[in-house]
Amino acid sequence: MKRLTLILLIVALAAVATNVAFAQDRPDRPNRDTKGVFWNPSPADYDRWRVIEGVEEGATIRFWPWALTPDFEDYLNQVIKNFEATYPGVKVIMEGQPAAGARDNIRNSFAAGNPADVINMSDGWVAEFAEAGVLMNMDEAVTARYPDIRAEYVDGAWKKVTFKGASYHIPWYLALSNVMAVNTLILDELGLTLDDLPKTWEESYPFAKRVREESGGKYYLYSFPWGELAGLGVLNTFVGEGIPVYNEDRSRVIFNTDPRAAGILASYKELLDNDYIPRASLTDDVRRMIDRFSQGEILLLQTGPQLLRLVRENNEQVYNSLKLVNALVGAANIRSIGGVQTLVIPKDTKFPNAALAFAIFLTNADTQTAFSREVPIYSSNLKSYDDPFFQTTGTQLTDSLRPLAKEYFTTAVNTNILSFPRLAEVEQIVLGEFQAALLSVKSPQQAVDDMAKRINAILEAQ
Amino acid sequence: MVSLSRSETLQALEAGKRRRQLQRLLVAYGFLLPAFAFFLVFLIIPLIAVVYLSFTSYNIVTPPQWVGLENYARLLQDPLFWRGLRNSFIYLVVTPILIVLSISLAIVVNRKLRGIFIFRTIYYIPAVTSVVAVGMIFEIVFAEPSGLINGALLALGIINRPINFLTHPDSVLISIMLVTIWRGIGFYMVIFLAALQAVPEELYEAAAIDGANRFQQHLYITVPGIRPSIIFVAIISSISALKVFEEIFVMTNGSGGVLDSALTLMFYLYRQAFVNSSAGYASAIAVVFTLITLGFSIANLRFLERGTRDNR
Repeated sequence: MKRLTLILLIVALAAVATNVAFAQDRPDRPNRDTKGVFWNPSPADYDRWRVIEGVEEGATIRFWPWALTPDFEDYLNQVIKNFEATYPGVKVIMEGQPAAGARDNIRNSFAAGNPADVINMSDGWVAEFAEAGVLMNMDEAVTARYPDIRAEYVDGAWKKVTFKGASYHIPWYLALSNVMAVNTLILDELGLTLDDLPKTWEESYPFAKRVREESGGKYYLYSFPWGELAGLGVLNTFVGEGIPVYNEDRSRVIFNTDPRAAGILASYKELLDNDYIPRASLTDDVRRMIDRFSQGEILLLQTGPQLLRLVRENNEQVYNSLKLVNALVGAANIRSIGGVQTLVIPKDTKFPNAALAFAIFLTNADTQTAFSREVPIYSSNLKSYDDPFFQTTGTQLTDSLRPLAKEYFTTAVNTNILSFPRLAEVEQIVLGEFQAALLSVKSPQQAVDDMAKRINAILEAQ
Repeated sequence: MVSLSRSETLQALEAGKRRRQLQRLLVAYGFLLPAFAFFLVFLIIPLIAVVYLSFTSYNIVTPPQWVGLENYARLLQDPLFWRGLRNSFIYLVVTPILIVLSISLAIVVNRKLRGIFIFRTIYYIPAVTSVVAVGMIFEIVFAEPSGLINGALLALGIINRPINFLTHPDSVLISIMLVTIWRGIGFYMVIFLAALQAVPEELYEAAAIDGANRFQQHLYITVPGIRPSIIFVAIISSISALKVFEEIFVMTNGSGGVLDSALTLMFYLYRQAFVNSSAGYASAIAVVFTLITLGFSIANLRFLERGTRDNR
């Protein structure tokens, strides 16, 4: 019995020691800087990080990260450890939310009156809760009280979602959307080089025909995730082509008055009708588009570099052949802010200052730089880009993008597409009319006219 | 020793009987109580709550606000509600197909052959397979241009363009109905198999002597013999068809199909409640849907029972 107890004790100690060592130095995180300020902070760092006033003494706040645990649990635990040392007396309880079902969990928690104090959510969800009036107004809580802190954030990310002109979230980590991946195996087979690739959407349409014809129907130039993203994607495309979406005071949408809007739908219809893009683009989501690319069906993949890991998991041969180039742009050469992960705070939290302090801490330059070292995501805090890490490249495919990030985030614009009221309904309207045009139920002009009419009905009802 | 009079004895016996009856009653109610509490919490209260919410504007996040009959008035003018209703009724086509196919399959496997249980098990597997897995399998089956069906038909030269199973508005619902039929056959087959085994073998022998062929034997002996099971399957499969959701969600990636072509009432309810955050409106859809299902089930039952009486 004694021997068994001893063995169990040794195993338990070994497990703890392994976990501690693993938390500090993980082979799957080659960019982690275990000697940096994040993993080895000094008292001076805590003083520097303490920027919010009036933090409630003895507060215990709950934090809901979304789809980050257990993968990034050691990183988040270190964030909490640093925060609790920065604001002694405040305790953070982390309750990781799974990727699926998190939105319903958040809704239910508000309905039950016990939401977490700091909630991580996708930018596409913020409008719903802001409209319901349950979130802290960040322009009042941060912009008005701490203008210097507000100035640290990527402007387009701060304003990614607004409700009645105000922001209700703090931007956390960002995705680059100005690159695309090229399958050079297909490129070589077709006898093409990277210089031959189209640079704009307009150039891409005849190129899609060329790829299809020169490959004898074997490959496509690209496919689209219209089953998932048509709603917002179409409106973003309008912005990219220089088509004004709103009128001056943003009380109405006017994109249908520009003939180029119907022209874009007509171009997509031509691609679809002639089999220059997979017909399944109508129903594919991002994951299926990536699968299609991984299977060697398509030449170009337009997606955030953080998702290229899925290509590696699906097909290492394709992944090893990848090259990253600038993404296709519209005629207006507008680069829009990509996906933004946000942090929101319930308006009725018992500890507004402690919650705000944690959200600001989680998004400060040092904390976010350390996160970018964990995974190829990008900081919403511009000061992060002063770190030498963002000037260097590494051995990973996505490492080459780091030096480009600061310039991109300081110039990328917010297309204001996520700021529509009743966003989900707007998305369904755009998707429905878009499909009606592509499936010849309506003419492209009729579809954009109906799209605008139905969105304006929603705007007028506000 | 005190002796009791006859009337006192009778009273004592009566009291004892009443006490035992009361005890029996209490024990019975005691056993019923947990199930009743379960139904109360998970069925009756939510049912009442849904009826109440159908008269409110409710976004799940903030408290509901009373709007009277507004949601019901909106239903009448909502083309997607009517499309959902239409598609739900179209989906009922799976019921007779399922009954015919599963009875046929049950007849086939109701033979005393070596290893027949293997076939029975194989046919039952779809019924116990996760709908998500089934959805993924059928996405491969229906994929274009190189899914299982399209790839085979193109390779054999039977078609020269892939069939748009999931990307043409006219075929999405039919494709999903095929999945439901595939999933349901095995389940209903087991019910019919049990019923078939209760039909006396002598009836078939007598019919054969009278000169009835196999088809006539099944038409005049098997079908009347398993009629209670047919009624049961007709009701439960039609209710399942009316409230179909999972297959549509999985096969259309939660979109309801191109141009909402596979949008059923249940799917529309989900979209309003959990995508558009209009839980009040979704509750009104739920109330109407429940009434339709109830009405349909009663009509179905009456119709099939009348058929039984007529045949007696």
